[in-house]
Amino acid sequence: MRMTWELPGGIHPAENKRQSLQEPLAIAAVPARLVFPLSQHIGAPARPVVAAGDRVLKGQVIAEAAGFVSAPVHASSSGTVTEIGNHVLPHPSGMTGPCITIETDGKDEWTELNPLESGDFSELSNDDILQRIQAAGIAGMGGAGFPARVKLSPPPNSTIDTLIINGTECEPYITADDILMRNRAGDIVKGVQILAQLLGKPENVLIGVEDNKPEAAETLRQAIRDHGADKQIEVVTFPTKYPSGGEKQLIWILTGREVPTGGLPANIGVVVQNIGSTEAIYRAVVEGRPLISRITTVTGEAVQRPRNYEVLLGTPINELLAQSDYVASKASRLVIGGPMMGYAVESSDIPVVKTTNCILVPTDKELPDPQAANPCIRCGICATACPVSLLPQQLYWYAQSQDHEKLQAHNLMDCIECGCCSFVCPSNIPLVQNYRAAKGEIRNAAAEKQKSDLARQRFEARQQRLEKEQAEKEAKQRARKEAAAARKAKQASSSDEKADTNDPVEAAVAKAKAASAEQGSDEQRNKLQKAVDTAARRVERAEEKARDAEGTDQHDKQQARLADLKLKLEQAQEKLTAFDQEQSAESAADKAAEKKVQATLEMAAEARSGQSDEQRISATIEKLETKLQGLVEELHAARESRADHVEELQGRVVTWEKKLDDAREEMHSLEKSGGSNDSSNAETDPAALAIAKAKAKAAAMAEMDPKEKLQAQVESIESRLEKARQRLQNAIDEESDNVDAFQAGVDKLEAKLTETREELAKLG
Amino acid sequence: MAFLRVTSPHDHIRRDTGDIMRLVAVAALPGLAALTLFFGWGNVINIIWASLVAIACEAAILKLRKRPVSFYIKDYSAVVTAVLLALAIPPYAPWWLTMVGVAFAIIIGKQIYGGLGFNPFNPAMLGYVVLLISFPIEMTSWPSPANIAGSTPDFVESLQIIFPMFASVPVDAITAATPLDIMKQNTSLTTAEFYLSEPVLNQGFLVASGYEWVNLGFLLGGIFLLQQRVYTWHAPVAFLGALTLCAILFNDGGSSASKGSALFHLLSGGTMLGAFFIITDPVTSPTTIKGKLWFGGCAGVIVFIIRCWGNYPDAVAFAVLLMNLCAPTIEYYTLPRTYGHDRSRRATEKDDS
Amino acid sequence: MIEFLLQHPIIAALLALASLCLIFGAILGFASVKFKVEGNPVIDQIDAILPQTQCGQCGHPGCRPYATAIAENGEEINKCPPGGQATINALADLLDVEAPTLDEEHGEESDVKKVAFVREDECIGCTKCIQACPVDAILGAAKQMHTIVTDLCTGCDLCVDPCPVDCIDMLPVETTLQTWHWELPPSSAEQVGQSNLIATDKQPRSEQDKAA
Repeated sequence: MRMTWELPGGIHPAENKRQSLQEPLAIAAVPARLVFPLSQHIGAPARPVVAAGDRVLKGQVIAEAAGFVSAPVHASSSGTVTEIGNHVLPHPSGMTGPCITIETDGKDEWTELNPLESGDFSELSNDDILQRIQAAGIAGMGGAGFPARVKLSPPPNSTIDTLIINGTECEPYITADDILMRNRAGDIVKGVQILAQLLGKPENVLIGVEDNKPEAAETLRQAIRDHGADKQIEVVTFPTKYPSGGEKQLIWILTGREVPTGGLPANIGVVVQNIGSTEAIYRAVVEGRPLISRITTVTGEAVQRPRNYEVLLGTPINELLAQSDYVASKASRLVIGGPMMGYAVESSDIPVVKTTNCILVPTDKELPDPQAANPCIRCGICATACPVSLLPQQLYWYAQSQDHEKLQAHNLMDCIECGCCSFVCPSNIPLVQNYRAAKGEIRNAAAEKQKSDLARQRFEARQQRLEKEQAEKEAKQRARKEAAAARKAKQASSSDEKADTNDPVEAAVAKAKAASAEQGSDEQRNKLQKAVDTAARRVERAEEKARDAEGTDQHDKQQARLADLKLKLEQAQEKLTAFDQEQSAESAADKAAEKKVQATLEMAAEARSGQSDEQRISATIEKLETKLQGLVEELHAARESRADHVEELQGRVVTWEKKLDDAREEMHSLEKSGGSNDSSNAETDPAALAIAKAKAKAAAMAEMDPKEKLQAQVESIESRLEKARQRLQNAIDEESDNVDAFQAGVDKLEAKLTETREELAKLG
Repeated sequence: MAFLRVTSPHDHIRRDTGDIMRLVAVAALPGLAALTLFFGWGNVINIIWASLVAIACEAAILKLRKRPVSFYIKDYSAVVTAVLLALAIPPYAPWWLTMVGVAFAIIIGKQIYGGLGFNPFNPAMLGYVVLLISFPIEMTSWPSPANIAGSTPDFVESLQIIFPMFASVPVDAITAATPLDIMKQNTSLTTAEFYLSEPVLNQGFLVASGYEWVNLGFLLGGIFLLQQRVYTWHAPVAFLGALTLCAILFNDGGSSASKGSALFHLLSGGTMLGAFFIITDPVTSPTTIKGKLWFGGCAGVIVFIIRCWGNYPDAVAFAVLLMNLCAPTIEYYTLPRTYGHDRSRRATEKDDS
Repeated sequence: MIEFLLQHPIIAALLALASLCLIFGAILGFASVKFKVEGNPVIDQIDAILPQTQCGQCGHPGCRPYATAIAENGEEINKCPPGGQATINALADLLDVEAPTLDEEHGEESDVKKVAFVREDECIGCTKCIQACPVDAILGAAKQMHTIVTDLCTGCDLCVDPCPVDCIDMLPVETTLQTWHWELPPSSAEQVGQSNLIATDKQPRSEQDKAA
């Protein structure tokens, strides 16, 4: 006999297991409709891979795992997918969630399975086994629904010396595991052997069974002998006590070890699997059969034939109740799971899922409605019942006063919500509900805290960035001012020199020189003016072209050219202005020249009014962006091929990025200064422009025929998609937190694209 | 929207606060029987009278606080308080004494703090101490046990003693010193000598005539409550253990300065009533196992100290009230070690996560 | 010397006092240098309590500036509508003052948390909202559709006004299966005060289901 440790606390509620054991295991009928919630496990909900109208076969994957902690969902009978939409979930909140609904065709036609030819799993590698377990969609069938693959992939640095199979089933009423052990002991034993092989043959392989199931324990022992595994596997029975079936409690009972708070059983070298999961694992690995059915107990005094069913997942609970001669008028509530930890649901129109081990419909007398609570008298009976040695009455006190700090100091988070304290409370206080509420609040508060910390960080980072930008701008301005001042000083000194020369001849010569210079400068000015004018004209033309090309492949090219031209125009204008400034500084008194300058400036402004600074800069930004993207791609390619010039490329990327940033900065400052620098900017309020543009676009769209419209749409979506993909790629490479958001954007665009294309195809 | 949606657990043990209080009242029966046997009907009348007063006070206050009266009366906590107080005071205490004590216990001791579950002090003991300080003569007038006095007042006589306004002829109760008084007042005699001189002591079976049986009766009731799992053994055993240990340490074999034997201390005064009915009051004692041990142990030591060196012959009420004060602190420092934690923590600790 | 002191106890006492002053002053001075706290720790504590929406409803350009104002200029602590009464209470607790009620001038406390959402079909890509967002939670570039990273959005509202085409909505954050939890049951006194049972849980049974 193996030594067992006694559970501290715990209770002995009336077992009520006998009722559902009177009849043997039955196969539940295939219902007309099956409903499969996409989230039957802990972790990310599965992703549907079928669409409404698809015909599916029994055992076919209808939703695939979306991540490591996730599990696929399979159709449990053949039929047609009628809907993918929200449906009431088997969940204590009574909320709805995404489900796949299948109308069965009654043929129960299997999809092709992939059984092991030889039936000998010992030749499989661990990866193969895990892969088969995951493909079968097995998630903890005892209640929590933790994907089996995750549980069976312990952290690499841990050595597993004990494998525990949980056949405890300590909750009253439930007999699903009991029946399973009695009927399929052989499969279970093989499942245990598979698990043992997977975990590197741990020293101890134990099946824990409470001593109120002697028949099941004996059947298992017999099966173990039959398989010649009595040296390897041991069935351990121990005194019945609730909640010895909790994972941590069972580990304590069988090994005397405690899972450290916040840790995993694997941290102390233990892996626990539910007995139902073990059997499902055997079927998945050897028979290739996915998890599409499970054994569920239907019991309670409101059903006349309490018994166990092998039921297809997705079967609505009301169908199952009907098969057990359910008397609706007698039922006081509907509990999914046992009376201690199960959750009551409002409607029976919810499906059986992977974790549904029991459906309990008690009468009012059997499980009376909760009574109004008396005040807590601190009797401490709850503390003696608590299996994890908490002080429930203190927790209750602090939960009521929402003192999260004290709750955590009293280890609220170690509460397993087994319900022992509520069960024994003489004051009828719903203690567990208090703890659940407090835990939820603490969790949400922690999430909030995390979010607000992130917000603070981002806010501060932004603040820094803005300050830096400001400082840079100021520095530039200062530099310009200084330069201008220096120039002035120089000019002033030169004119001083002039004044110093008293010689009238020299003065006359100087005057003449100045006059000629002035004339020369006029000529120069005209030249510049011409350059500006031609540039402006070219820009105008290019703009026209660009507008024509909008929506075609040429568009980008034209845009780039336009941007180029604009840059040139700007240069010309800058030269002109600089020249004018010089001129005006040199001959401040020359009114005629000033007038001329004025005129030219006006002309230049006119020339520019066709295009705003903002557009110019945004064009530059776009250009820079494409360039940068090209570079980034090159860089990736180089990285992948481990080319030598990676560093060089990286440098280039950085410089381009800086350029891009500068351009953006300019854009921002421009937008902020909002037209104060140039009279022509008054018109360039980006919003007004944007609205006008949007309106124009809308008008143009309205004029186009629908096919063209769609064509245009497709193209624009394509280009957007392209960009979104690149952004996503960047985010992934940078391991940014926003990958998901980008991914979602790409997905959405893709969906939209296919939709638009389909529409287009319909029209064409 | 059909079924009741409530949180688990759905099953519940079929025992509520009222049941527990009734069990406590029932467990007091053996002690009451012994009291009646040796001292007459006084305690029975007191209990009934005290219960009536308690229910009236409770109902009045609940009405004032706008709380449902019948719901709270049904928890029997007021009755238990009344019963415990009536058992502790002398059997033939006048009616007004009982009334003042019970009213104080219920109104000031309990309801002012918010009713059942919120009172820091044991209400019965609070009432007792108020009476002891205010009316020391009435509170120390214990009659002689029946086997010494020869007879006890019959039921009507008892009524007349307690309610003198209904008596045509004033009836006086015969009072005598209790064993603890004798021990306290003795300064010159050795234990053996005064045991010989005092009939209440030398007529006793173990310790002192009458009182020993009363204490044994309460012990029996306590064992019954333990068996019914109304409370755990920790506080009573720690209390009795600490008292015994002190008595053994300070018993010098019977000189005039002797403080009495362990058995003497265990079976006289309110020891057993205190151990099984007073310090086990859940509301005012710590709930942790370690806390209960400390609570009981310290109360035992305090009882011994006051009995031997204090001004009052018995001290259960003072000891309990003093320890009530400490209960929250004791609890803070005696949290149990939770599963998965290396050590137990203090409730004042900040969460480091 | 000692004799002199013994003869003039007043002087001795004064000397003793003076030397004590010197010694303790030195210790204090040393401690103030040695254990100098950089910055004002209260600001950090206040900042930690504020909800970090950076919404500016308090009249300060962000939560930290408000925290600084509270700590250094004695600014009122009731100007944070997103935090609501809970934040005010926490601040009052920290600063050991009476908790005032929320100053309605700065906005009302809303029961539901909200996040911004861009109706993407209407977005014209003007980048106005991007500049307004205090936590850089909006993605997009000029003439590109913008979108809001919901996980980063603090629900501050600041992007709604600048939008020229009004395509930003403030949507309440819905309870998901992950954030759902049981409500805290009423205290026993409240429960008994009500009719009889936990009234909220008692729902009338529909005839339909009885028939089922």
